[in-house]
Amino acid sequence: MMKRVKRSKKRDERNVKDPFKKLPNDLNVEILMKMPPRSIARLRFASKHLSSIILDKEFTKLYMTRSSTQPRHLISVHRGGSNMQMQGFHSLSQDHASFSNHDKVSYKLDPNLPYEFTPPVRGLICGRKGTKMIVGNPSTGQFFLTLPRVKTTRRGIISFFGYDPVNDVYKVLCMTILQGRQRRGSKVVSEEHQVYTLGAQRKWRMIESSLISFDLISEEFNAIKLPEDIPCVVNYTGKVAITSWPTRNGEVHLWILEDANKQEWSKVSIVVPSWIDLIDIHHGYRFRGTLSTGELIFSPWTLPINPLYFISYNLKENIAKKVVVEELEEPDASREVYFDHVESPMFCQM
Amino acid sequence: MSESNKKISLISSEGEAFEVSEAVAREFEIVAHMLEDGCSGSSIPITTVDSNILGKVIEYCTKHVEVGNVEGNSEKAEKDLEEFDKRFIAVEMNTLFSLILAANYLNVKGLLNIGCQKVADTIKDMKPEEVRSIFNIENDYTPAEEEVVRKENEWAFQP
Repeated sequence: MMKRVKRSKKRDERNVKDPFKKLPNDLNVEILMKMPPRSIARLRFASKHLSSIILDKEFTKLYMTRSSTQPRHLISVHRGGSNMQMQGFHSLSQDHASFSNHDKVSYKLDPNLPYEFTPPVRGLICGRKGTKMIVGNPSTGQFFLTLPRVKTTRRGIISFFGYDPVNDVYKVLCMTILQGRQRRGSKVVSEEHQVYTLGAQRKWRMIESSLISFDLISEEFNAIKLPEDIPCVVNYTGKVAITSWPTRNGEVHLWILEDANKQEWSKVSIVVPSWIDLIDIHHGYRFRGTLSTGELIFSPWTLPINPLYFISYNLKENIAKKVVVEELEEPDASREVYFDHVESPMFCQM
Repeated sequence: MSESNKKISLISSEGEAFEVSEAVAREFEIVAHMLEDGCSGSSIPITTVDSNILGKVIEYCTKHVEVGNVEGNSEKAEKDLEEFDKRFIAVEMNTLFSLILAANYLNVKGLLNIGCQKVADTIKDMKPEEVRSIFNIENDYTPAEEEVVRKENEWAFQP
């Protein structure tokens, strides 16, 4: 009897020593919310108790709700080398005042596989090299899913990554095409469409249809006739738009899809003020779309670019400025900036 | 203001009385609610907080009330307060967690915030073993479990 009492007392003492067990759960969550996803991912291995808090779906949701109000620039860096390829991501606050707030995550990928990534969606990112595709969380560094190879005899593949908020699932759409890679101005004849749903059966499903809008929820395509044959699709203040390349004077023509069902388009032309003073005439630029904070973003696409920068145009105040993201330590590494990245501590168990 | 001259005694778990101005006491939201509910007695028992921690929380609130009362030159005042917070929260871990618990109970939001931030900043760049030793966390993974977890999650340990 005595022995039993003694043992349980000892156990209590030991429990009390762990300060995270002393705190109510909402305070543990409050502490975790103040950490970057990379640190949270590592903390999982300190104890099962912390792990259970971190893996809780509600925690992920809460974290993402908060980080969606603080979107970040996500920068992918690819370093080539004959025997070792390194792929890394880092993110920084989109609030320009705190550009110093870097958060670096880097990891090794398969040698000789420089993945091409599509823009991040709700914290995750999808990369493809040929018929090989991966999905991962660039904020924790966990690349958890290698998709089954896309089965096709066709050479060209275009892939899209999206999130279906109704069913809370991520989906990858792969279109395989006959004509090879999509080139500027060329017509793409899409021949096969395959969809992969994350978390469902590990296979691609063939779906029927023709171009071009794809409803991620119903998985239906709707043919949308373009008012003009111009190549880039962007988000213009929350609406789908197609855009021309900016002219030398900073003029951009946009066709905005006002109503997808009625196929109503409206045409808008924007002239970015002081364009000539802001740009480098040796660079070509493209319109990347609208940030969640409302600015229109133009980025240079011809290499080499150092420092990394973009042009941000505030439509309301009619002011454009050049925003320098960072000086490059390794000018020969190739990199891409993605906007409005919402950091997620989401963890995928194998 | 006559209100700020009024004194209130806060009684720690050991029964020690701390006399503070009403303005400082009101920084404890729990006390502010009591006062609004008409519990306007001159002494309020804070039974879950010991003297050491209560003294510190009062020090924090007193400073914040003082700075809040100064008019003008707000930028400098804010900088000073930031410096004060930084020094104030640089305490050893046991005290830090006690401060967090007290701030949560007394509902002192600013203190709760800097306390949680301090813990987060401390852990941020640590390895799991370091976190365990600094915070006295019992490793409840068995060695076999830990090996499996580590193997499966090598990505998390890359520099």
